[in-house]
Amino acid sequence: MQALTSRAKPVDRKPMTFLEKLYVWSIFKGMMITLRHLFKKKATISYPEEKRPFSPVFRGLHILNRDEEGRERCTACGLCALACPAEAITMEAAERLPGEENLYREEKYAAKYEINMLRCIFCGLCEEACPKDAVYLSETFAPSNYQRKGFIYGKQDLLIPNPKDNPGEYWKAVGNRKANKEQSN
Amino acid sequence: MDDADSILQQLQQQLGVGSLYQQQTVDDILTLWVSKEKIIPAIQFLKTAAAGPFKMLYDLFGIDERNRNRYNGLPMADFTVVYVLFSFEQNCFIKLKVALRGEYPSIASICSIFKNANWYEREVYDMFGIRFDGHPHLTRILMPLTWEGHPLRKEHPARATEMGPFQLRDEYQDRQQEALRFKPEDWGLLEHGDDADFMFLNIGPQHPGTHGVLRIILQLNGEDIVDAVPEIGFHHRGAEKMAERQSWHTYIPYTDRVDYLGGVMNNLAYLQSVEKLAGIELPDRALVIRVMLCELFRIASHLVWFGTFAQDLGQLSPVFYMFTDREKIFDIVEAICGGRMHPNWFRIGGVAQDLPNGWQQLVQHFVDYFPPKIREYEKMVIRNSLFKARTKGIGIYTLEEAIEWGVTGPGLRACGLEWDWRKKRPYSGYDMFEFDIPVAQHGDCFDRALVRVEEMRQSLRIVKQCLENMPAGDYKSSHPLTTPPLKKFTMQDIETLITHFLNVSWGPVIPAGEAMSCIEATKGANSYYCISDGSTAAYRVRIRTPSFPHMQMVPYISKGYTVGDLLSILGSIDFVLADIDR
Ligand code: SF4
Ligand code: SF4
Repeated sequence: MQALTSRAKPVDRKPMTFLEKLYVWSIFKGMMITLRHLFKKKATISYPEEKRPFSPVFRGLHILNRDEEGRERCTACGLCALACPAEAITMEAAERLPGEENLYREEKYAAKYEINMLRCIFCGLCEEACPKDAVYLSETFAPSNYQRKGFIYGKQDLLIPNPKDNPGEYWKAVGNRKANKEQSN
Repeated sequence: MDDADSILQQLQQQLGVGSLYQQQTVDDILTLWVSKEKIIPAIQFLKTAAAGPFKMLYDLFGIDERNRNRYNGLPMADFTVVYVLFSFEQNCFIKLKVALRGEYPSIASICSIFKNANWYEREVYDMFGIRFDGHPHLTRILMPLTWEGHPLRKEHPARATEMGPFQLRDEYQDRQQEALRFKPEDWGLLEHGDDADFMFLNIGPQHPGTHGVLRIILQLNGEDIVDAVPEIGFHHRGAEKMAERQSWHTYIPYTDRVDYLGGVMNNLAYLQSVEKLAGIELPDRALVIRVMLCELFRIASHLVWFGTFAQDLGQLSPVFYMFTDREKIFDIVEAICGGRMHPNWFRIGGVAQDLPNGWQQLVQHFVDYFPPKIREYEKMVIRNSLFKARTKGIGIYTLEEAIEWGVTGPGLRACGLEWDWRKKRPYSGYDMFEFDIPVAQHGDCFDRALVRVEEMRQSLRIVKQCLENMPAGDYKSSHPLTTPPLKKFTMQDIETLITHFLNVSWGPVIPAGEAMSCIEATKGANSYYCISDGSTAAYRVRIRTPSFPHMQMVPYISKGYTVGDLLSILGSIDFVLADIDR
């Protein structure tokens, strides 16, 4: 490969002065900076004893939502599964039977609803697609597991506690996200 | 468009009337079909003789046209090779297209005209099986040497699940093992010189100095580099192929992962061209939000570069301080987007959500916090005489060389050309902001570092202007192709609900056409060339990334230096392997 130009700019390799060549002064200055940082506030936290707070819109593990009366919001329309770029969501729909009105909000509901957390890229497109505010991404990420099948989250893992049985947990799970969403909408 | 007309006339004179066919595209870039025989003279003419010559080969790629259902009167082709040239004098792109017929066609190589055509042509060969006659070393570049088929051909499966279960048979394993054996001749390297036996040294695929999975084969004479051959493709995920499978909307998360340090910058480059195709104008608020996020990501990306560069050169502390500061940026990004490195936050026609309550305080805090930090880092790293000794005068290239090899971004500005796409071809409302383009003169590692440090300051200036002048209004356009449509209406009226259903399930139908975007990404010019045939998925998406040509130049600028210098050079180039391989 011949050069395109004669590289007129000479390589600046002029010998350094004796003092510079020792580099002692530079090394000393660098060490001082490092030393100073030793006494500054630590930037790290001791995970897992301490956990950092996540922002309310953080895209972590999914939850399936219930309304205030404890009914499942999801109507098994399948939009979330279609919107999912990673094809992580599968579901089976079922018709609501008479007498189940206190369980499901709409006439159709998801009998089976699974998210494969190993496929999921936590992009949040499912949450955005859902017309029923039924699927949210929460402020934690998936805990580790020994087996692949442990990462396939079924309905029991995803559904938030029922406000009727456990109002405290319910409101914690709904979290600021709802408030935040309403503000931005 | 006068410039374009005069170029067209000049070319027509040169090649003879009737040998050109002009195609209308929505991006206002002159697009000409040239016959296969005329491509060499056409490119030769454009590079050297035209008034305001097109000195840079900006991009070169192929298209498999066999499934295209609408030709709209375009020349019939089974495959197309597209050459995108750029003229700095005229600030103007030109696209030349050559129609090829047949299953495995061939075309003349332009390596003798443009140095950087080498890798691009290898990529086209690798992806489509199109041969380039006269190419010095036409082998696969991204795929493994033993790969069967050419991935971007339409008949090649897009998912591994379409290929049947994988079985590791003995002969398969032997073949793979054999392919791994290192033979210098295969890489175009000699074992013996006139007066020396060369030593071969592998740097990578796992080496802290390569910043990712990259292998560089060094041919050494003592400690001096005689030649270097980068082997890339370890990070190849087929991002361009995925675009043909995903809907226009669900492809956005994949763009995040191309230059994974640039975050939303990739979204922007992609959406610029989709929005051109769809004819969407954005509300001001959406534009300014986009700019603010882009600049925050530019700072974050430069911080990673700064820290790792210092680390490559032996300063181990700075990288920790800089990653801490980058974490501060990610706190803002997380509060706004919900993600960190993969924000997936821009949407066709706007951004995903409005800014959250209290974003001003977060950004304000960072704007106040960061300037003293840059000063500190500058003192710590740039003014250090050890750092200077290892970067000054190392890895020099001149302006002509930079242009010849397709260098853009800070690497180009370090050679003294004041060229920033944000200023020269403003997009996304960058013309509304005040900032300077830092330039340096020597084109060595040191100057590239200086330019980037100064760029962080300029980016911070832009962020500050965004903070002070954030317009009110919508964060999404009300255009029908905006995906998903503004949600506040979705629950109210059936029209929007239906659009919502269609757009997020099938995806929006983007009108047929072609458009190219060009943005100043963190590492240089990033372009998405989108071709739609009027359906819910792209027909072809070409991603032109800055790191690819930059990496191609490494052997050229590292010859004659020592192995230690190579690490300075690699660090100063600031590449991301995912950005090279896509
Ligand atoms: S977050 Fe994204 S990848 Fe995960 S399930 Fe939802 S749509 Fe799919
Ligand atoms: S979670 Fe939402 S989008 Fe998914 S099926 Fe249920 S209602 Fe439809």
